Amino acid sequence: MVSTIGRLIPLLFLLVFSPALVAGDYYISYRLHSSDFILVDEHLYISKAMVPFERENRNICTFVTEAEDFKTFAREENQELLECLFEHGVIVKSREKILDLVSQRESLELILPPTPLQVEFNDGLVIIKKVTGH
Amino acid sequence: MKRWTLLALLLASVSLVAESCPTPKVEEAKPNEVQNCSQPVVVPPKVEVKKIEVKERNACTLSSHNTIHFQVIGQGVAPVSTVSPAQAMALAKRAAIADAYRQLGEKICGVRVEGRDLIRNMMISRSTVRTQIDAMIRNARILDTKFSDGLCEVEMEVTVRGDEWYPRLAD
Repeated sequence: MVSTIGRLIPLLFLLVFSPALVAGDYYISYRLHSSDFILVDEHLYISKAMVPFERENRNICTFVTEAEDFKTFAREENQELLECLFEHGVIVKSREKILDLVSQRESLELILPPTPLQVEFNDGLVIIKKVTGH
Repeated sequence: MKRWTLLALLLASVSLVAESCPTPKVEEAKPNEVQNCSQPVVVPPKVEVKKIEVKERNACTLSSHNTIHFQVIGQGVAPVSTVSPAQAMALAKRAAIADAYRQLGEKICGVRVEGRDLIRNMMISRSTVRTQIDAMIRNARILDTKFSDGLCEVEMEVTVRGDEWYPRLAD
């Protein structure tokens, strides 16, 4: 015969540690190439971290979502996710060649270097935290 | 008797006239002042003290107590080979954001310019200019997005606060 407290202990354990169970550590990077004001190609790379991040993190953005994992969320809401990540630092590289006073080629790259993120799914919300000092 | 009365009246009137005239004041000349009437007297202009208003918002130079706003409008064009107007708009917006970041990089970090002229027989035969931007932009915010006739315009802003950045840049 299991007592009431005995039944409640696993439930409490689940409630306390459930956010940690659905949290994940990821590396995300992005590269965009545009030429003459037209997007040529873009790549968004997401990779799950092999070793969990032990360092401090800070909350950078929160979204409402129905997705259940980060890769699905990033595929569906990549515009909002990228705008949030760009606010925390993006590298711009531009090259232009002008021959005989006529612009020949304009090339622009937007690069988000590999960034460690901790992602938590909680009650229809996805909370994205950037790992600092990595 | 009449004579004495007339004389008394005359004396009284004379004394009244003498009292009504002001006594001339004689100023003592200062020993150090040299009075030279032949030279013209130069009157110095009055110095007007005005309060100088410093525009805090759009000041060109960063100081510890002002804020600089960099505002740009990036433009992007949708590629020809798009499946739907929504895709065209999304791609044009991405290109416009990239262009806005490039303009912010130009303004904040500067442009490297390299020019080459090839001269043959005393004539320029080829003139080449290359520009290069390498920048890292943080805290840029999208203010507005417009899309019309295949052209997307994104208004973007970076705010540089003097109290935060001036001590770092001044060192």
